[in-house]
Amino acid sequence: MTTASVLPEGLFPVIPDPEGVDTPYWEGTRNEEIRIQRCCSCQRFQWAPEIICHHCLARELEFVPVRPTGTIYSYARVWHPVDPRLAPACPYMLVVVALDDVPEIRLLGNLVGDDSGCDFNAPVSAVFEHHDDYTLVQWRVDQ
Amino acid sequence: MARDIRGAAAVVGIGRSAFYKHGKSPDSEFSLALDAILGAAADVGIDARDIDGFVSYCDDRNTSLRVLAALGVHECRWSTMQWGGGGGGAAGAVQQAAAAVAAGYAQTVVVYRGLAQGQFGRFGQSGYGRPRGSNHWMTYGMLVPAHMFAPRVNRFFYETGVSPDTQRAVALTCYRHAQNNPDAVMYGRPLTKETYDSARWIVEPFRLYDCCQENDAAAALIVTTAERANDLSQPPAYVLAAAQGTGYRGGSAYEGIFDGPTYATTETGSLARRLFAQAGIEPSDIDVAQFYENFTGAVVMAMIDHGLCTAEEANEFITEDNLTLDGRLPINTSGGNLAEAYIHGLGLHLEGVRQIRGTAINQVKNARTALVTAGPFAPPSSSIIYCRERVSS
Repeated sequence: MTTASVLPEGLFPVIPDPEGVDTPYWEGTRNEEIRIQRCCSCQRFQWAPEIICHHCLARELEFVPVRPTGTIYSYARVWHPVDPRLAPACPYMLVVVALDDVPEIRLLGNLVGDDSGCDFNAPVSAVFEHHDDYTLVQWRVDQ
Repeated sequence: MARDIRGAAAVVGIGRSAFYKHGKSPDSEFSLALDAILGAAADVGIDARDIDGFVSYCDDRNTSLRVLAALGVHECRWSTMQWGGGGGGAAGAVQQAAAAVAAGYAQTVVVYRGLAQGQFGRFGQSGYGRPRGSNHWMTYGMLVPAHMFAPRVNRFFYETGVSPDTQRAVALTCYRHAQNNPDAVMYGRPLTKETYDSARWIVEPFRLYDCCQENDAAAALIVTTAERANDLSQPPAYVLAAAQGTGYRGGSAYEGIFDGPTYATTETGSLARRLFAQAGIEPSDIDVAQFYENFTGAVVMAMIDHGLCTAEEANEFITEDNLTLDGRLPINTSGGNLAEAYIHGLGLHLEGVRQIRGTAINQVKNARTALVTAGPFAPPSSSIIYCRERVSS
């Protein structure tokens, strides 16, 4: 189950957290769902996932699905292929996306498709990029 | 009454290796580090075997244990390293040395950093973080500091209205200063506005000349107490104040943290407030500054985070004329990381000390205070103010 990827396949594969902190996130993306960590005690979200809530220091945390939409908080177009294997993909776009459901949470991703509409606060929707062993969340600017 | 560490320690010796383009050093990294340490000891007339403390940062590979054994050091009393894999710890390392001698834990502490990026790879090519699973930045092609910092600088320009052209002023200033410095790697290679503007993009908003060099080089400083400094051969550069740290959620891309409220800053605002509070002076009292340029945009932001100008003033203040010798705030007077040599920012401290001594090639007249900052966006970052006059206790 693979789809066309922004960057060359297999370049830097996802390495699951050895502590398992992010396992529910990757299970979610496999099912085309974005699950963000939320504290069972104070009900506030946090990202990146951790083993403790940085708001209230409770240890019981869960992963909750959020809408796969957001806005571009920031971005950067990468031109120079630091690794020569990246050359066919350059330039590519790094985006930092604020989620519509939890604007204080920002996810890193790449922009898929036409990047001419890439701008601060531009609305984006998630595109699930399936690889053999994991699924990445990418983003496309809404038309 | 609480003991005041303000001005209690001083840099009394500075040393360095020869500077090479990356991969061009005929000697190993450890050999370069020894050149710097022995040079710093000789500069102040101290027997290197009497050094009793060792401090570094940035996960320096030249361990204190190897150094002290190689030098036949009589007794090591202090050995510490600042957290963080980037250049943010340069001033923090000097701060640790100052704290160690002021507290009496050691008397003669060397701060050093050696790197042969040809021998061991480099930040700009290899990345340097530990890719925890949830921190899948590498998978997205966020591989190196330029990638991690560019979105922060872009957001800063968007939020503040500061022009990306301010970056050009920083680059041209560094190269201009380097043209008077025969030791600078970019000596004899002046940079024009046209060359800067026509250079290729690395990652927007950074063109080629917005990015620091990568070098094989080493630097070292000897730190001792203010009392003892007065009996030594070199004019002391007193550590008026030092601060390190970061703000709330000021982790970094290396920890997968993108949600900090100060994302569009260098994360040095909070430490800069502590720095000036301890120093008891205002940003306008700074005579000369050495700003860590991993990227020029970071210098622009760090100037604002340190209160040297406001975002509203930046477009008028941050010009080549203002930043060059005889300007309103001369910066990076030896050429800095961009044009002298990139020693993860420790070379900037050597220049800060030379300015206080009055021996810099591009000497600011009557420089009494020198600000030196360390790796912006590479928390825990750090900054230091050196001064010429001894602080009365």
